[in-house]
Amino acid sequence: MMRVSMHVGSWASKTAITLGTGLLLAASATAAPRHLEKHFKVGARPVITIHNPDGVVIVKAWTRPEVKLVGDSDSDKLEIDAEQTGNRVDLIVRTLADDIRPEEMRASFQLFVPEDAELQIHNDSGSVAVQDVTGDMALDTIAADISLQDASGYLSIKTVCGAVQCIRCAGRIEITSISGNVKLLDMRSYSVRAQTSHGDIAFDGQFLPNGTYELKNYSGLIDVKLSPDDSFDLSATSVKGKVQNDANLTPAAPRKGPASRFAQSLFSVYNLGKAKVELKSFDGTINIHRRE
Amino acid sequence: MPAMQCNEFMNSLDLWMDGERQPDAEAHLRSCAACNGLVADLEMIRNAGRELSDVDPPPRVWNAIRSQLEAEGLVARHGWLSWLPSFGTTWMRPAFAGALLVVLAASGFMLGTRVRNSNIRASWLNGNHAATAPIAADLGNFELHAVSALHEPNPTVNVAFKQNLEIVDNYIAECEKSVQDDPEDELSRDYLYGAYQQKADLLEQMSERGENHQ
Repeated sequence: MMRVSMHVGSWASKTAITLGTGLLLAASATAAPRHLEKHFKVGARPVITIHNPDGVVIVKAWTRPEVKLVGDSDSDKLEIDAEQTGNRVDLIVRTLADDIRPEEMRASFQLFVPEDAELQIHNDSGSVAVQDVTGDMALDTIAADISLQDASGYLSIKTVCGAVQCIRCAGRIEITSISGNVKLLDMRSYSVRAQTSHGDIAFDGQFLPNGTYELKNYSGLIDVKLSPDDSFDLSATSVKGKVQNDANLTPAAPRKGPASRFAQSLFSVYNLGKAKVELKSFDGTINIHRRE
Repeated sequence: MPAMQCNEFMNSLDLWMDGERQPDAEAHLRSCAACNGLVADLEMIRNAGRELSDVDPPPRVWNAIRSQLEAEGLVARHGWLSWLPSFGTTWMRPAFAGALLVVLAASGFMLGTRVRNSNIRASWLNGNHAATAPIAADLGNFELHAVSALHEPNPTVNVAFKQNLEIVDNYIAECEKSVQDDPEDELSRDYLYGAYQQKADLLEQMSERGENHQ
């Protein structure tokens, strides 16, 4: 039986929820699919925090000044605690038993939030998908994949081995991973910093004037598409791997970079060199392609 | 009087951080970008440390780091490190410890700049070894703690931690080899310290898991 704890402002509400929980407990002697739906009225720039051990978390923006939470779990060994404190909504999933089986740890959620919401999501495994949210967000996973679409603000993403994909993201993005692949497509960000040790990084997007773009891995591919119209100062270095430039762009000026006995490097300024693009790999291959 | 050298400044660093401003140290800082940068980093970390809220201080391994640093004479027993939050009788914050690792690396390489001019490979190797050995040892201690403390019921997470620890260890081994092959190569050293930092971060996560599930 999934325990549902809803902590809201009034005694009456708490009583109702306690009764509701009791009814839920009484209604089922065996674990059965449980469905939770809650609404929280919020103001501008609400903060939403989610802690979930395993499962799918989907967050979508909508135009209403409220947070709608829909949750599902088959487990009777999870406690789902959804609580509102002022303009913050906290969703915490806790395991209730030490002997919990992996399939009993799973809970999935779909949230609808105001588009300026600030998100703090920790999901160990499963997946996290965020769509159309423009507030700042900190996403932290161990193995869960992360997908962002049309997000902006300050996006801080940390994962041990989950794959990260950003499509049409803007603002400032920082991604850190050990073995996850990173895919950044149709980007409009002025600041991108992506680092994965043992994974591939793909970047296809605009290099905005005065923007900084730093892509770094230890091994794997770094794949970047450059346009002849872009204005950037490029530094690409692989200590023991390769730098392959198929873009066939004409630099405005070559540039001298830091010397390394082993490194393959490419240092060039294109057009006015307004953006700074830094690609670094230790043992991997850096592929530079032309974007038409 | 001859101007103070980097190694002499390093010897008086704890006095400087305690607020004792010797004229020769001040003069050295004005002329040495490396020492100036190190002091700036330490002051930034000290300020950040003061602003940290009082939360449960995790991993006990950081005490081992302190003991080792003291044993190796890298820090004074009652010097400027006393500003560290919970750095005496309790445990040091892992994130802060990560920052300390960076500082250790920076100071190690600052010492290394002295041998750059002499261009002697053996000196470079010694300099790099002196900078990395304490970090590697501390990470080894931390790993013992983090791995033994990890009681994670989610098998996906367990596997992820173990596999990625192996990946980072391989990463460190490759970078160490590269630095050994060419001790003067800044890129290799940059990657090596990045690898140490990454391992510290991963162990910190594992350690926190252990604490949470106990």
